[in-house]
Amino acid sequence: MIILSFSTFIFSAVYAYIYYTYVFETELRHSDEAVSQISQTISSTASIAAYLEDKDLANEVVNGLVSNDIIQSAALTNQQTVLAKSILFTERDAQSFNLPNPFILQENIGFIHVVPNTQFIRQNAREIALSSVQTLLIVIIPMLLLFAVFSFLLISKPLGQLSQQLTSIIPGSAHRIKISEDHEHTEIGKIGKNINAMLSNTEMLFEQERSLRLEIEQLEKRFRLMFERSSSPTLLVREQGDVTLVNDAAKDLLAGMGVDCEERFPDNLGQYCKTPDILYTFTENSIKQKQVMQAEFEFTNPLTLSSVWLSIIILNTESDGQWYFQVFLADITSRKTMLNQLSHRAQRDSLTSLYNRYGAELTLIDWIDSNTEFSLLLLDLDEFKPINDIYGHNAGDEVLKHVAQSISYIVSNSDLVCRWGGDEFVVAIKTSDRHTINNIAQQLLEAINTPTLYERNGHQLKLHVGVSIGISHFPTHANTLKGLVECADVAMYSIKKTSKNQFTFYST
Amino acid sequence: MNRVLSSLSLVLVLIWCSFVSAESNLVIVVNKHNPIERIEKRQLIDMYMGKYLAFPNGHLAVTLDYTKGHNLRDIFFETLTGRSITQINAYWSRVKFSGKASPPQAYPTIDAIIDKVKTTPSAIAYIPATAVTDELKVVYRFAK
Repeated sequence: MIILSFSTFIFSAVYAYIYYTYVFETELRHSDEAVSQISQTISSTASIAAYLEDKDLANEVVNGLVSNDIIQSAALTNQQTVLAKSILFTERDAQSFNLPNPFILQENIGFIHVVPNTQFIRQNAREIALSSVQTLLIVIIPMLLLFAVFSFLLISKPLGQLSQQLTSIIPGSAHRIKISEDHEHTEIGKIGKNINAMLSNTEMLFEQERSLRLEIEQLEKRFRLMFERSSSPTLLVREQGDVTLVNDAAKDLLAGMGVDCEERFPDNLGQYCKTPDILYTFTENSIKQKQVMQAEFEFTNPLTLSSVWLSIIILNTESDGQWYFQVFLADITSRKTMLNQLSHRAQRDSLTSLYNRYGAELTLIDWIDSNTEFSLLLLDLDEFKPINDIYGHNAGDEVLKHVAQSISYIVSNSDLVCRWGGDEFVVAIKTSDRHTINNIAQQLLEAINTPTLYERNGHQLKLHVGVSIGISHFPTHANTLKGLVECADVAMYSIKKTSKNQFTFYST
Repeated sequence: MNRVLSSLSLVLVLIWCSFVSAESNLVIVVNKHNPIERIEKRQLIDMYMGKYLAFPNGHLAVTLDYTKGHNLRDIFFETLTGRSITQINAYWSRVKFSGKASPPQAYPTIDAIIDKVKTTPSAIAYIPATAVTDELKVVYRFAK
């Protein structure tokens, strides 16, 4: 309202000033024109006066001019002399008009000098302008005031109320602008309704946003649960190797293995891996090929020094232009142990714990396939059957165990000892040196010939067996295991038939 | 045919010219004893409009005019000043009011004017060129 009144006042003042100046200037111009017109009117009489040098006529003209309000003084001159002049006349301020010869128009015979009454003219113009402005202001000021009041009542005030209401409204809430009945159908009301429509829209959007956020939160919670509580140890690793997420299962597993979760992957695991090179290659390949990779690795637990087997699955995913790999770990130590036990069981003889025939065959075929030179000793016990028959199977078993132990002591770990079946044993030594073989065979003979102590019904018994050993050599005697065994068998039987408790090499 | 037309138009032009000259061929005359031989148009205006009532040599002059309504008067003033007779009359009514100058003496006929000039050595008058006699001296002729 203050601004409106103020601007109304300023506008009136400026307008009044402009109008005043305009009227004033117009009046001055009118007076100038009047002076020139008056001079024109008397010019023919003045011409005659100048022509005849008639001072009386000239005086009459001058007096007539001076009697006019807007003329202060005047003078009439011919070419040489002043014919008539009013008092106060000064040529300096005068406007001069030429007087032509009344009969020879092109000839100039004198001048009429007129000094306008500037003071009177200005005063007059000022009064006219002032009264015009007063009239104007009398009309315009009430109009402007009315305009100001109406615009305040109809526009400013309702707009102010609208904006006041707006400031107290929180978008997304159920608050709406109240529209008074007076403004039901006005522009102000329309603005209010539009704002309300916008607020409703906003509220709806907020509501949608809220429910979406809730949904996302729940989903996130579920996924977090899935990830964190998952029994499957999982890591989320950046392409550069930074570990960003580790779930509880993974933390437990890695802590148990003495691995620091915060260290870079796969270096944190690599230091305890038995085959770190393979682990690094495996990870690199996974990154390069961007595909799911699975492998099993054996680790040494630095805390217990026991062996731990982990199955590692690496899955590459891209998210927001960044490559991540998910690493799923699984402790497969127990499964591995079980499998080892199973294979052990399959390849070992349950009584003597030596390789059984199946286990030996696997190893020996391996040796043959890799062209490893070796000598095969086939041992067959002499006088074993009577022990079984006289003292029972337990005694026989005891003898077999004793023999197996004796052989194991003599043969090194890199070589092979096996219970070939019944009372037959096979020893494979990775050498072709006869002297060494002779030496070993001799030791075997002596060891097996040493009696076994067996307790039966409170009596200490000495059980005694001998052995016949046939020896063949790979690849000298045969290319296949079957061939080698046959050769050794032939050699062994040659002893069985003759001397017993001896060894001999196969000879063609 | 063309010849007849052109000769006819020539005759018409000649008739019109003689009429105009008869009307406007005015001359200014003075008494034959007046020493003035020639007078300027400007001096004529000044004398007839009441500015100077004297001949160029300084001798007093008496200007003679016809009475109002005489057709020679209309032609004379119009030819001399380029003003209509109404304007001339208005001039005199203004001048008479102040009393500084007075209009020429007026006579009703050409004969009366001629008699006045013959008997007054200082007189000056205008008459048609055809009316000039030996007792008058022409001092100015209006150009045709």
